[in-house]
Amino acid sequence: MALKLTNREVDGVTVVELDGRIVLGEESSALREKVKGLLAEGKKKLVLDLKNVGMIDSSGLGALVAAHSTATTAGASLRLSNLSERSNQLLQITKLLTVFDVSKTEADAVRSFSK
Amino acid sequence: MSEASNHDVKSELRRLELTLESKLESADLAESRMIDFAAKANYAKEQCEEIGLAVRESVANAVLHGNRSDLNKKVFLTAEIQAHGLVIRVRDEGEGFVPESLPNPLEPPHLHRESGRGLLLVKALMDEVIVRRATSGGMELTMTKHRSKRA
Repeated sequence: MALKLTNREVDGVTVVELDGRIVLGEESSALREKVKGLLAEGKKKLVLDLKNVGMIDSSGLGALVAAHSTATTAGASLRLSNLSERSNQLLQITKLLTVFDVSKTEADAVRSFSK
Repeated sequence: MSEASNHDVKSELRRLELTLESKLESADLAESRMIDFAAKANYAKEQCEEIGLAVRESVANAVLHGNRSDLNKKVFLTAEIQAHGLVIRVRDEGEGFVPESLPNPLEPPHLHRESGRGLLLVKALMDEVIVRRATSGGMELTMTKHRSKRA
């Protein structure tokens, strides 16, 4: 049930792989803390890769919004990549597709920072 | 998932009743029980996931905003297979609210808020949703999922 978060550097971009569900409770908190920690380390280009995210609830959407806002406030940029059909649908329903920068693949997301 | 012993569960083939503690874990329990129930009622996998998420959101709202995590209060969930679909009721023992008074999470001032999207998701995922004050106090959310033709 827990959300696993693993980060690595790709061409100067910090890619965070999320594995599990982004839902109410520890999972949403873990995501918030991870992003805060990376920003505190001075990371400015972040990609949250959602390839292995099975489900997002409203609290998880809130955690993604918080991550985006915290990054923007810190002068950093945050993109999402590899949204599943379901995740995409949820972002569409909530109009959050207008808030987030979304890339189809991780490679696209990393490349978009060099444009 | 293991069930907490202090949750009451009554389950038949066409009806499910859960009495849930005002804890976050109740959202997990209700979601998993409803997915199983809908699957046994031959709902398609995608529909089961939608039902599970809608129930998760409803129970989380009832626990956090209705009962305000007061462990003296319960959340009551019933699910029943009826002719027109699966009808689920989630009732809390809170003070209640006026549904129309909730801010619209799709409007720009609220778009960047971290919360307030639960009921929006429930309405999008289910076919019929009614939110009203329960006669016994608190709020009652009634939601129906019609069976898809693919199921």
